[in-house]
Parts: sequence; structure tokens; C-alpha cells
Amino acid sequence: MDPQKLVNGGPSDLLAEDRSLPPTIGSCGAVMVMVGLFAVAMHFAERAFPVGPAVGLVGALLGFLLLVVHALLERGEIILLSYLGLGAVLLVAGLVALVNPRVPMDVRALGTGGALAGLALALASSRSLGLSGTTGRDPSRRLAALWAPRLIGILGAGGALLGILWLFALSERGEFSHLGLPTTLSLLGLVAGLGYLGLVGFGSDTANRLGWIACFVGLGLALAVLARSGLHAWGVWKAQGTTHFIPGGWIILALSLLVGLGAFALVSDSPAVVIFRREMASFFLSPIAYFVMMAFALGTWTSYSLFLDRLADRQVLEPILGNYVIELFIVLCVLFGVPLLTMRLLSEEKRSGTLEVLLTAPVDELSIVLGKFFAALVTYLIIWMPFGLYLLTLPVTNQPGFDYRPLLSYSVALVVSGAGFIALGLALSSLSSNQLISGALTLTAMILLLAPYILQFRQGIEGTPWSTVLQHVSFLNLWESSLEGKLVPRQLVFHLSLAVLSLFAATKVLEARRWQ
Amino acid sequence: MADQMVEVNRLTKHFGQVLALSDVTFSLQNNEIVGLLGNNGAGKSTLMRILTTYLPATSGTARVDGFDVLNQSMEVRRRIGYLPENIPLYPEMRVEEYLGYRAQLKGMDRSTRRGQIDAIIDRCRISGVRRRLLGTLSKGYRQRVGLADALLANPRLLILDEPTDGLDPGQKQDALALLKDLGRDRTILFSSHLLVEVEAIVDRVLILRRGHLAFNQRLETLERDQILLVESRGEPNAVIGVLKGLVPQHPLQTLALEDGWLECSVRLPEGLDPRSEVARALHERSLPLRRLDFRRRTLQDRWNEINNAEALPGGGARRPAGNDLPHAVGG
Repeated sequence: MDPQKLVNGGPSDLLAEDRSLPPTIGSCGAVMVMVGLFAVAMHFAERAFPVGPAVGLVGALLGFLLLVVHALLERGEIILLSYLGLGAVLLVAGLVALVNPRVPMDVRALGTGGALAGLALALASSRSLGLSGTTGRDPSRRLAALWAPRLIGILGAGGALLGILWLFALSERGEFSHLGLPTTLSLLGLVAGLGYLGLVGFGSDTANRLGWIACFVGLGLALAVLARSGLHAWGVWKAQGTTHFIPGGWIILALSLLVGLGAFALVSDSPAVVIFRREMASFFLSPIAYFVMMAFALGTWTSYSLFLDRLADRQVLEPILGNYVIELFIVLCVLFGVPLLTMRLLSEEKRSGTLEVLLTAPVDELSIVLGKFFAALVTYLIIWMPFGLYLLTLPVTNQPGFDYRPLLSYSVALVVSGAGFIALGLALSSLSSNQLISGALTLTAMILLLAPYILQFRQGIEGTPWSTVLQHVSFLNLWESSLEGKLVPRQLVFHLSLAVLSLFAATKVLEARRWQ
Repeated sequence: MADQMVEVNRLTKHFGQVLALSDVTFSLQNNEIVGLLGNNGAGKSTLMRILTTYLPATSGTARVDGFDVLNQSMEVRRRIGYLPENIPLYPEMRVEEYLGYRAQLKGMDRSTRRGQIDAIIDRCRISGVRRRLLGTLSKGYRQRVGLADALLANPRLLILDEPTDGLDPGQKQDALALLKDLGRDRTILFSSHLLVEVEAIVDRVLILRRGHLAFNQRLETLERDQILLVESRGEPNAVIGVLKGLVPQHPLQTLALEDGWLECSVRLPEGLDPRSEVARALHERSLPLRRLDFRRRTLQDRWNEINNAEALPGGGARRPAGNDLPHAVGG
């Protein structure tokens, strides 16, 4: 820092120079990675260690996430080059573990995580090296800075396309036992593609053109897989297996939508999408998303531990995931997590006055509501990540494999019920300029949404038509059905209706100032 | 493009029982800088919020560049840049990120967006803080960022609610100079409590008083008026009688000074100079004369007339002798 600024500068100069946050994030991440990997190593060495292998693995993966964030914020060349090297090593090691048939399945799972983490780390540090300008001094670095993004982009696009085509081929042949490798390849390709766009700059014309191509390709693939699955189901053009959509087609659909919608979110200049991008950045630039994710991780870990105990104590029949999800701690996390995510959405804008600036730009109220809604919903789904990570660690804990297909239906239930919660929280946030009041209202609403699950079993209600009504509106009933592999439309309809009605209400509340 | 940038016709706004604006009618020309004055609660911010389509009027119409603010609000919003009073910004965003975000919301073309943002950053002199977090900026820089935001998409009308409020004297001067420069190629409507800064740069002045438009005049016509100042001692009615006898058609105000002298001010049109007649008349009546001169009628005079219209019908108040009129009015 310029010493003159210390003498002549005001507090804002000093604050602007504060660079303690990135190293703090990096240090926390490094500790989590080291402790986590050590715990896994102790487990494989059959030695006792206070931290279990599952928690250790999840901690290591979350720690890598913090290292990636540090790499994005850091400007020191030595640290960034170290990250670049570490990322490259992890990527190569992970890929080797994935493709080597002699490697055990549980280590292959680790290889997937390692390859993804390594790629993300390498790309983040490459981007920061470019921003720091250090690559400009050395001709070889300038060359690397020019060609590395192109290479990453080509490999990424190629890998993603190869992975998805491979999945298509496996679905045609009805071979579902080897979906892991093409899925991993597709995910690596997506991360590489995103990294390429980040390296060339998301606002650049190149990124814009490629983003639109990826959007159309992704959405086109999604339509193609739906059409193909439909043709198989109607017997017009049958594939070799009994089903095309589950699970191969579903995985292709999810990946295609991720590409298509993700690219759209990155390149579109529609007001709702612009607001979506800003809100996403705001969530992850404030502590709230991390606190809620940490709380979810802890709550999910508690449920996961109880789930492992049940698996060890007695024979649990498939589908087993209900024993993991329908647990007090996860429900409490959702009950409190939703208000924390939604309470500031409109309340803070009203309090600070930024809503007035927003509503005097050529942006309609519906775009504002939709942009904030989708940002909060995506953040809510990201916060469920520890739940999925714990399941990935089941092989490490010497548990037998489980039928993962209920996860497919559960993911739909999660999105639909989450849409209802988030929309309701957004509508309640529009009613007050005080975040605490909005949060309290949303918490009350969440408790009311939980109540049907408890009330349906009460004496006097059980067995009556009221019990049926309560089952339709209870989100826990929806989760239970989906974890049994069933998606019941009448259960989905309530939550979808709640989402639509709440979004409508939020829009009208914003418009109400024009009726005064 | 409409002949007049802003046309307001009998605009009225009620908030429940409270009358915020009453029958306000005025129009603003293209490339005009207009100062909007008024005490707190006069209706300045309400008027601006109606023009920016944030609030509807209870009755009356307002058009910006020919588009109705109620029925064609999107068209109006595309043509205005607005800076609210408290300069609301997102503290977690950086300056250029925020301007990029606002540029996208305003529909600026992607191919030229970057260049235009850079030009506005230079014009508003915030290049040195473009990578800073908004939450760490001083009031002066926040104001400049807010102004830069208002300038995005090159609006034809800028509406600025007290843009100099809270700035130090140096920052105020810079802000006013920037507004004067911006006013060359667009219409600016800005509100302020300080008459001196309004007088320094505006072409037209609007004064709101309790929701009514009490004054609407170009500054150059105001400055053609002059005020004859006479300080005398003796029977007040005698002094007043002399002046009313000589210049009967013109408004007369009196102020009793603390040292017992009486100050009389008469508003006269340019070119009329009755000083020798006044001096002779007072001498003939043996009324002592301490001061007899002209000064330009200022906005401060007009402001005092408007605000004192009910409280002091005919003038008269105690104040120290020989001092200038209050520099700042309102609070």
C-alpha cells in the first residue's frame, strides 16, 4: 500500500487496500483439505482418527471450494502459480484414476471429485494470473495466456460433447452400469467451458457468441432427449433397453439443461436475467449463503450419521434414502434456511432505496420478481450440495451400493417444493422494509407448511378426507413419495401453485405503489 | 422529439389526507437547466417521483418528451436519468460492476456499452475508484457514481434530487460545474436548498411552497428587476408616504432595523431611477437619509417574498442593521 495514502487517505482508502480476506479464505480451505484428506487416508489405513472418512471427504471438497474462491480473489503470483500446478496435478491424477480399470470403484469416485476440483482450481488461478498482469512480462507466459484458454475451451467443448454422446449411446444400448465415466467427462467439459468463458471475459463478444451457441445446443439436446425418450416410450422407435429416460436420458436432460440454461443466464441481456446475475453475485459476496450452507452441511451430517447407524444396525430395504432425508435436522435446516435466504430479497432494496432506482429504470416489476426468485432458488439448490456430497462418500464408508434412481425423482420434488418456499419468502419480503419482520413472517409460513404433515396423523383427522387434503399440501409427503420413486402430480400441483401465486402477489405488491 | 421536454398540467397528488402537490403547471424546454426550490415538505421529491414514473399523480397530467408518465412509463424511463436524494447504491458491488449492471438494465447496446461506460467514468471523474467497492466510497464519490448511473444511455432529461446535499464546498463547486457542462446537451431538473448554487448555473427557477407552484420564471428576466434601498429614520408612515407618493405602482417592503432606522425596499423595473426625487422629498420633510442605492433583485429576494407572503403581510421584522439578507433559506 502507498504510504502516502496512510497519511493523506481517509478510511475508504484504507478499507480499499484491505487484502486480508482472500488469504483467510485460502487458509481455512487449506486446513479443511488437509484434515479431510488425512481422515480419508487414516480410514483406508484402518487407523482411528477423530474425524470420520465421510465428514473428512466432504470437508475436503468444501475446502477445495474455498481454495477456488481464494484463487479467484488472490493477486499474488507465487500463490497463483502454486494453485495452477496443484490443480493440474489433481486433474491428471483424477483422470488417470477414472480411466484405469484396475482402480477400485471407491477410489474412482474420489478421482471424479479430484479431477473436478483440480480443473476448477487451475482455471480460477489462470484467470487471476491474467488479471494480475504478471503474464505480460514473460514471452512464454504471454503465449501460455493466449493459447491456454483456447486449448481449455476446445478440450472442454469436446469433452462435454463426447460425454453426452456417450451417454446417448449407452441409453440406446440399455447399458446403465457405466454411466459414471461419461457423466464425469461431461461435467469436466462443462467446468472447462465455463473456465474458458471466464478467461476470455464473460462480457466479451467471443464469450457472448459462444454462450449463445452453447445455449441453443444445450436446449436442443434437451428437446432431443425428451423426443427420443417419448418415441421409445410410445413404441415408435425403441432402444435396446426397457427404458430410455431412466436413468440415462434423465442425466442427459439434466446436463443439457445445465448447459442451455446456464449459458443463457451468462449471456442474455434480458432484465430478469441481468437481475438474476446480480442477485447470484450478491448472495455469494455476502456471508449469508455460506452460513446457510455451513448450517445445511452440519444438519445434513447429523442426519447422515443417524442414517449410517440405521444401515449398520438393521437391514434397510430399498429405497433407503427416505431414512436419510426425512429427518428432523434436515427439516429444521429448510425451515430456518429459507427465511435467511429470502428475507433480504426485497426488504433490503426497499430500506436502502435501491428499489426506487430499479423501478425508474426501464424494467418491469415482473422481471425484478423473476430475477430475484430464480437467483434465490438456484442458491437454495446449491446449498443442498452437502447432502449430495455425503451420499457420494457412502462407498468410502464401506456401505454397500444403493439404488440412486429415487434421487432423480427426489431432485424434481426438491426443485418444485423449493420453488414454493422461495416464492413465498419473496412475496413476504415485499411486504416490509425490515428484514427481520420479513424473516419472521417467512418462518411462520414455513411452520404452517410443515403443520399438515403432523396434523394428518392426529386422531380425528387420520382416515378422513381432511387427511387426504393435508397429504396433498404437505411437502414432506411430496419428499417421501419422490424418495420411493413416485412423482404424484396432485402433490406437485400445490407447490407449483404456491410458487405461481406468490410470485403474482409479489409483483402486485411492487405495482401497488402506482395505485396510491 | 417533442417541442418541450417536460409538460406538466394541473398536477395534483394526495397522500391520504395530505396534499403534497396542488394544481402544478409548468413546462421545461429542451437543453434547459432548471432549479427546483422549496422548503422541506414542499413537494419537490414528490414531483420528481411522479416525473420519473415511480409514483402516480392523483390528477393532472405529466409528459416527458411527449410520453405520458402514467400510460407510457417505459418510454419515459428510457429517456430519463434519475438520481434520488440519498444516492442508493449496492455496497457490495464495485463501481464499474455497478455501472455495467445498470447499463444492461437500461438496454444499452452490448457493442458500444463498454466504451460509453468508460467515457462516462472519465467525465464524472471516477476513474481512480472504478475498482472500489461502493460501500467504501465517500459521499462525494457516491454522488459522482450516482450521477454516472443517471448519465448511462445518454438520457435527454436528468432529474437530480438534491445532488449537492452533504458535499463539502469544493465538491459542491465540482458538482455544479459538471452539471453546467452536462446542461449543454440535455435538460436538467435538479432540486436544492441553497439559492446561491441554483442561481450559479440555472436558466429557470421553479419554487414550490406547500405543494403549490409559487414561482416559475427564467433567471434572466428576474435579474432585469432592481431594488431601490432607502434607509431613513423618523415616523415610519412619513417615510412610507414619501416613497408611495413617488413610486406608487411598485411593491414596497419595510424592515425595522435594530438601531432604530427603517429600511425600505422598492422593486422597480430596469431603467427607472427615482433616487434624486427620493432624496429631495426626504430632505424637504426633514427625514434623515443614511442609504440610497440600487441592487439587483436576486432569487433570495423572490424567495423571501414567497415565504413571507402570509407571515409578514406588509413587511416588518427586527434584524441587525447593515447585514446582507440570509444566504441560505430553508432546512
